Amino acid sequence: MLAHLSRVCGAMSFALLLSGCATAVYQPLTPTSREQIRSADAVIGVGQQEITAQINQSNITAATGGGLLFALIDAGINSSRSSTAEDAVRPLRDALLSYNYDDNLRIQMNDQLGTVTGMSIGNARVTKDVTDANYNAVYQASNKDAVLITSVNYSMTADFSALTVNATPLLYPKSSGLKASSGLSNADFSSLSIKNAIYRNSISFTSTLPFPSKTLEGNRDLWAANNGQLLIGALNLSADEIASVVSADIQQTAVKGNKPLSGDTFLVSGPGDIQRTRSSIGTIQITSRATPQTLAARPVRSNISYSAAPAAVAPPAAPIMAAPATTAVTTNTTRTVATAPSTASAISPSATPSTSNLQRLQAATVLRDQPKLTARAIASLEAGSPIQQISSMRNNEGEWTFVKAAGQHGWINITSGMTASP
Amino acid sequence: MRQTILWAAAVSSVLLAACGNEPIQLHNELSWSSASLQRSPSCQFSLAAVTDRTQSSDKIGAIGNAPVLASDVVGWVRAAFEQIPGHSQQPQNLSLDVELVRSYIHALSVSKSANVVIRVNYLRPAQNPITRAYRGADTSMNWFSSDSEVQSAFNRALKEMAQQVAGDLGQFCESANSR
Repeated sequence: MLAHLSRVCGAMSFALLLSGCATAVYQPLTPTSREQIRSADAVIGVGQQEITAQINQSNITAATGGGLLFALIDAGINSSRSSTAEDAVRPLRDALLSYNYDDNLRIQMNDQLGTVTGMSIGNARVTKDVTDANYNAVYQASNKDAVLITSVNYSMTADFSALTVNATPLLYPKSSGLKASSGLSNADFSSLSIKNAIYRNSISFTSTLPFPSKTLEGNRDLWAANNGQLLIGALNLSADEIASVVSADIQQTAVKGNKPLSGDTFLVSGPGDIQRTRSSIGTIQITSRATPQTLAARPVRSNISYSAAPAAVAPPAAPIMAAPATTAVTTNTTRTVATAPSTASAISPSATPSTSNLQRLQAATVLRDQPKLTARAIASLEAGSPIQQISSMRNNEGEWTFVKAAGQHGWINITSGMTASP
Repeated sequence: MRQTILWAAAVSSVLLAACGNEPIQLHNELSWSSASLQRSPSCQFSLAAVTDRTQSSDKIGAIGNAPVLASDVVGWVRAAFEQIPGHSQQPQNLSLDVELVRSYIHALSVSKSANVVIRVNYLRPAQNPITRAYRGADTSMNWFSSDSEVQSAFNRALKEMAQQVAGDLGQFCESANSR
C-alpha cells in the first residue's frame, strides 16, 4: 500500500514538474487571422533577474525503475550540482551587472515588430512577472486585436561551453472578430491557455565556444574575460536574432514537415556562421559560434525582412544605474538596416493612407494559391487592379506578396510579375 | 515502516514544493546579529543612504508558481548594515552610500538560491569616493517552500554580503581618518 502511494506521489510530482516545462508546438498564423490583426500589444516575459546555469539532472530514479531511496539520492546530487553551478556562474553575473539584457531585448523586439506588415504592434514592454495570473491580466487589459506574449529565458549550459536563449512567442486573439474567425469564443479566454494561441512557436538560440576548455571554469573564464565581452556579444546577438525571427515567423505561412508550404526564409544563413533552421515540427533553432568576429558582425536581415520599412532605431538602453568606470559596459544597439524588398517595380502606393495597405498593380499578373510559379492560378489581375497587401516573403523564385484581390486571397509574384503571362 | 513514511513525506515535499502558488511572504527581520560578523579593528562608519536600483518592486522572485514577496528589502539591507560592527547613527568620517542592485530568489531543480547584490560608495572627507560591488548568495535545498525557509536563505545571503563589507571597512577607515 505504501509502495503504491509513493509511486502515485512520485508520478504526480513528476507530472506536475513537467507540466511547467511544456514547449509550444508550432502553430502558424493563418493568412485569414493575420488579415484581421490591425493592432496588437506585445509583452516580453523575462522572469529571471540574472543569467543562470543549467545542471545535468541526476535521474537515477528513472534508470532504476523508481524508489524512494533513489529519489533521495537524485535530490541530493541535484542539490549539490545546483550549488556548484550557482558558484560557477557568479563571475558571469558580476560581469553583467551593468548590462541590461531585458532592455536590449525590448529595443530589438520593438525594432523588428515594427516591420511586420499590416500590423501595428504597440510598444513591447518587459515584465518580470511571468506567472499565468500576470499574463492573464495583461491580456484582459488589452484593447487591441491581439496580444503577443513572448517568454524568454537565458542560461549557460552545464559545462559553460554555450549560451542558450529560449523564446516562446504566443499570439492570443483579443477582438471578438478574430476569436470568431479562429473558431474560438470569449468563453475560451477567461484564462489564457496555450492551445488558444493563434500563433505559437519555440525558438532556441545557442552560441557555442568554438574551442571550449576542458573544464567548466576554463569555459566560464572565456565568457567572462574583458568584463564579459564575449557573453555580452552573444546576448546582444540572441536578442537581435530572436526579435528578427519572431517578427518574420508571425508573417510566415504554414510549414509541412520540414518544408514550408510557402518557402522558408529562415533556412537562409546569415553572414559569418549564424544558422537558422526549422525543425520537422516547425520550431526554430538559431546557432552561432561565440567568436569576437561572429558576434561583432550583425546579421543582415534582407533575407527575412518584409516590405515594410525598418522602424527607426531606438535610443540606446539607459543603464540601470550609473556604472562605475571599472565595470562600464555599453549595450551595443548598432543596427544593420535591412534591405527592403524591391516591390516598387510592380506595386505603387494608392491614394489611400499607407496604413490601409491598399495598393494598385502596375502590371498584369496572376493571383496564385501558393507562392510558386507553377501553383494553381486563382485569378488574372489586370494592371491597375486594387489589391490589399497582407504580407510578403521571398523564395528562390523571387519576391511574393500575399494579397486580397478580386475578392480572393492569394499570392502574386513581384519579381516576375511584370513578365509572367496570365 | 515509520521511517519509510517519513522518507516518503520528505521526498514528496521536495518534489511538490514547487507546485503551490500561494505567495511566499518575507519580512524585514534579520536572523543574525553583529556578534556573528568578523569585526574590523576600531572602524566607525555611518550610513548615508540605501537606494533601491533594482527593477523589481516587492516581488523578488518565485519558487515554482509561488511568487516571493518582500515588502521592504531596502529596509532589510539597511538593517544588515546596521549590524556591521562599527556602525554609528552619528555622522562619521567614513560614510557609506549603498545602492541595492539585485535582490532575488529563484528555484533550481530541488534547490533555491537567494542573491543580494549591492554597490557601496565609500565616502571620505576630501577624497574621491571609491565604489565596490558585493554579492551575497545562498544556495540550499528547497524542502517545503515555506516562508521561514525562504526567509532564512535570504538572511544568509545578506549575512555573506555584510561579512564582505565588514572585511573591507578597515582599509577605508584608515584612509578616512588619516586626514
